[in-house]
Amino acid sequence: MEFAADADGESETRAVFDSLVRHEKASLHVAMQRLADFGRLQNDERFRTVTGSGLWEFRKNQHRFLGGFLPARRFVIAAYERKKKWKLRPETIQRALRIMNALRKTKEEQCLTVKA
Amino acid sequence: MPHGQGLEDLLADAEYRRTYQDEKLILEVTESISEAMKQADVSRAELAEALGKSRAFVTQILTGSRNLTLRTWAGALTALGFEARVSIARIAGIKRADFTYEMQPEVTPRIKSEIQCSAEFPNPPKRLRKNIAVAA
Repeated sequence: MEFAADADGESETRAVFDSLVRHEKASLHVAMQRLADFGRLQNDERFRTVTGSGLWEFRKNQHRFLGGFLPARRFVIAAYERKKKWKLRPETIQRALRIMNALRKTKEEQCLTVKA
Repeated sequence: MPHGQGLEDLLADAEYRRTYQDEKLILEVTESISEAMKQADVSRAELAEALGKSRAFVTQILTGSRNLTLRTWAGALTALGFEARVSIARIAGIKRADFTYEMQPEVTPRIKSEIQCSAEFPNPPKRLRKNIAVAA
């Protein structure tokens, strides 16, 4: 599990994660750990595909952490949205897709991510 | 490294670790219901009907927003044709002393003060009698 980072090693998604209240953080942490341990989650209220994008989202209350799989069983969290409407904003999906596509073209050791 | 603390490191904090274990159990229970629903090929609406509850109730169970009772968990699994099995395991790297869970004190400060009150007034108001009985 990794969080996408910029050239300075700063990760916006990780910063958001760190700012959450303890039970929200722990809830997402548990789901991320389960994905890492078992490679899947059954409950689509906690982890589901973002329709038509190839992305996945971790969900807790209004928090949505979008990301995707990379080779070697890696999962990178690329974008965050605090969802207020029924649908995710297209800009957030586009942003996550852009980051994931850039990471897919990068060698693993050169990927700009921070380990979760 | 700007975000030097990995998620694993968060577990070094005892309070966080307790919350993490709470959330882990909630996730495991909700996963068990989701897994049973998939295997039984039962929708949320069908499960809700079997339980005599609303579809929203099932959604609340799955999101973990509703504090699920053991009876509801067992009932949902039974309705799906499954049974719950519970096991415990030691948390790796945690000493027994670290487990001190802050339990609800048996006598809360409010009840304590009411007990003191009752000592001063042998016939406490009816409102306080129940609390005193609980504290005793």
